[in-house]
Amino acid sequence: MSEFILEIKQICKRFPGVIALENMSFNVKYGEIHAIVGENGAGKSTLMKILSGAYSANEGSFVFDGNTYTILKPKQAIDIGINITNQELSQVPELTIAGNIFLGDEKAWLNEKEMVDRTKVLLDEVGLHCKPDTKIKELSIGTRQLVEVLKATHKSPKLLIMDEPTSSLSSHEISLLFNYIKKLKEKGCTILYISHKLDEILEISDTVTVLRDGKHVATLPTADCTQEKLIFLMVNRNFSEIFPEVSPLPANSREILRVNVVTRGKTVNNCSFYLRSGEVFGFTGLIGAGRTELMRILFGVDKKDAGEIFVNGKKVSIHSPKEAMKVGMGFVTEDRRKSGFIPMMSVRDNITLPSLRKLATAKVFTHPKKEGKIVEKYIKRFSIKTPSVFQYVMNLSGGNQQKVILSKWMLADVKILIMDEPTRGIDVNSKREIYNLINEFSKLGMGVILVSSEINEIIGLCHRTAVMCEGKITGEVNREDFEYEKILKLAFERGDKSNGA
Amino acid sequence: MEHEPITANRLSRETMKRVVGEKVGIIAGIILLCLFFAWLSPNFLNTSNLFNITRQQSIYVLLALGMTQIIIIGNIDLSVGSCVALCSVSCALFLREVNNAFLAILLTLAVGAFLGFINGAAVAYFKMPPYIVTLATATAFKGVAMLITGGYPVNVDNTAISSIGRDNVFGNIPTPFIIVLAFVAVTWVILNRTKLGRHIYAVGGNREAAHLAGVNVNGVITYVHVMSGLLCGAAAIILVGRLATGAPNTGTGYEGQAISAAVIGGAVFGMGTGTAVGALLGALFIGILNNGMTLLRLSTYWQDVVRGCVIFLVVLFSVISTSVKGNKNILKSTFSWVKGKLGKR
Repeated sequence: MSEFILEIKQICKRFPGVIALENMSFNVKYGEIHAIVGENGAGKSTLMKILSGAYSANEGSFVFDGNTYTILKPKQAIDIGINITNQELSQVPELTIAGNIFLGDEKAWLNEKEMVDRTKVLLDEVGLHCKPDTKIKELSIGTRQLVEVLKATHKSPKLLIMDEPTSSLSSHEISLLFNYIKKLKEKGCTILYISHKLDEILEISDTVTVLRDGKHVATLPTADCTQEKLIFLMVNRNFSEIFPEVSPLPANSREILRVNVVTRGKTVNNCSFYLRSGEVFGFTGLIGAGRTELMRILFGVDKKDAGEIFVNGKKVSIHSPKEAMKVGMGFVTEDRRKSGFIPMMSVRDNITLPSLRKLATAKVFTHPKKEGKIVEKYIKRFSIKTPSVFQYVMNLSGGNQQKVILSKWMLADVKILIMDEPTRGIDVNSKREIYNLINEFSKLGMGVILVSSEINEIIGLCHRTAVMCEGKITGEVNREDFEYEKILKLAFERGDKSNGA
Repeated sequence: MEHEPITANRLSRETMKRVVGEKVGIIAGIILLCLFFAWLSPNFLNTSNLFNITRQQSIYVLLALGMTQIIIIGNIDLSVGSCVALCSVSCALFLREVNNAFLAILLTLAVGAFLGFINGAAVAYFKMPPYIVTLATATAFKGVAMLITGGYPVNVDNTAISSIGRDNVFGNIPTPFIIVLAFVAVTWVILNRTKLGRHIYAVGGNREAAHLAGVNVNGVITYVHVMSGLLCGAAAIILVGRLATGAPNTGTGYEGQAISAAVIGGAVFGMGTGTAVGALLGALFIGILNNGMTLLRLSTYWQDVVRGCVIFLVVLFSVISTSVKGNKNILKSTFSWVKGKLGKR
């Protein structure tokens, strides 16, 4: 038998317009804690989804415990001993802890006592002091995440994949989890540990694999690693040719937006910043740092608990997107398909939707013909690839859908454009076009807030950037001082762990 | 992709293509149905029979117009029948009290709009599920109709109201059908030529995106339910005119008729699609089917079976044609859909 429990062999995975994994190959030894790191979009989650059967690879295969697999179904993955703890909690709030741990694994006649007893043992092992018959909805988010881990381990898998298991844990819960992981390791369980938090990886893992842009970069013993070295391996690329040249702010640039100590629950904590006309202001940080939440507050989608917003020096109160648009804001959302456009509506109707009031006679009657001619201009200007203004937006490619959304806000004549991950899931060429448009917007005097997890985008496009971590703005960096490592360190600057950065 | 510049000519061509294109199925269905019944029954193509169909279906067209808009925004209204019942007894009672047709019509429409407002406000502002809300209001509306009449029909003796239901204009076109066509036209204008109409489709197509584009989503939802209530009121007036009575037990099963007509006319739950003309054609299709089956002396039990199967098939085809994207040929897409389903086994 080989020393490897898992050998990944030349796995490729393509999505329309995106190559998520390209000839991925590396090995995992029996009984080790093997960490996987990489930027957002490096392919970590895609690879894990292939191993756990949620996706199937286009090419390649993997050897698990001596057997070769090409296509795996989720149920089959569990049967052969691969289990995964998901980043998003998939629990039934109304069921008890025991009920959730054994969900999908019950006998035809429920044996409540046995399930409760076994759950009790598991809870003791982690060090959680709650009753197995507590309902999930009564637990804190951290405890729920630990229960998710228990659900994955109760059948003693040979390989346990943990995808960001500490994303919502407190430092005490993290130490509980790490102790439990060590216990699992003693029992002979192999663990694939995916995390953004490099300090945790250095603490818990035996081996680290670094991925970048869907490719394998390196696999090396944790003992040989430092945070700096990992960051260098994760980034290391030449991006100067993708981005347009950022011109300095014009002399007549003035402050158009000021946000003062805005707070919402724990997700957005005392955030303050300002935006000038003609400026591209970045917002970066890890997933879950509270950037999207802050933008939703600005645009009036969610309520804020405290704080003030000023537009052009005047205090404004914004309670709905409609009011946000009145003061000149536009919002390009993170999830294009879910909230960016109306799929079964034409390009024309989508672009004119926020501006209908302006275009309609007596603010009531629409002019399809006039609208069509206006939209025509935007199609040309943004080179949107569509057979006509009548095409349904759902039939366009991701990049062109995004350009429709940008046209929509240009037509609405916004002065402050919030863009949340505007290039997620679109191909490199469209990305470059979007970058040029962002640059063009700022030259027109628009203020752009660019939220992006890709630090390269921030460095390539912004005049200034804020970095967020756990709901707080941990730093602001000017273009002259842009350095990848510096920004990344701010993104890791967590309040509750002093050894974080 | 080659980009063709927009011209007035091209715009009207595209509009025609869209208006006719989406209706091709239902228009073909109506023609086939007519040919079929004309072949089997000599009385079917008789003008008086055809006008009789339009008179019978008038109320259903109105209800289908309201239901289509409700389905466009992804909701449902099960209280339509009870709403008609309550409106028609209200209308009859108003006439008994004031005996002024004009006033009674206004008041009845107001009652309908108010009942719709209750549904709409509950769904939009209290975020209650439309199924449950309208199920509850259906029970309550019916109860109120029974309560204020003691369960007995209220007879009406007003020539103006009766003429709305029974008379003909322009030779032998039934008056109610003309009224209905006016409502169809107004609804068409609202849906296709106003900001409000665009917002209705936007809310139906993607509620979140519409909200983020500054659409007053709750306002739109409320409007659509109010409009549906108002159309129930209009239907009730025609009903009272035809029967010269306002009965609290009318309206049973009307919501089923309205939903069937809307769906056959091309409204799809949760897709933001559906049109005013579609509602008209859908209601006429059902009317022709009912009339033809009656002329053929099919038992009512069989009629129910046939109607149910037709609705089932229409929905099945609409699922097929939307799930097989980009394939406009219905036979081809059905084939590939079936192949896909079998292939999964």
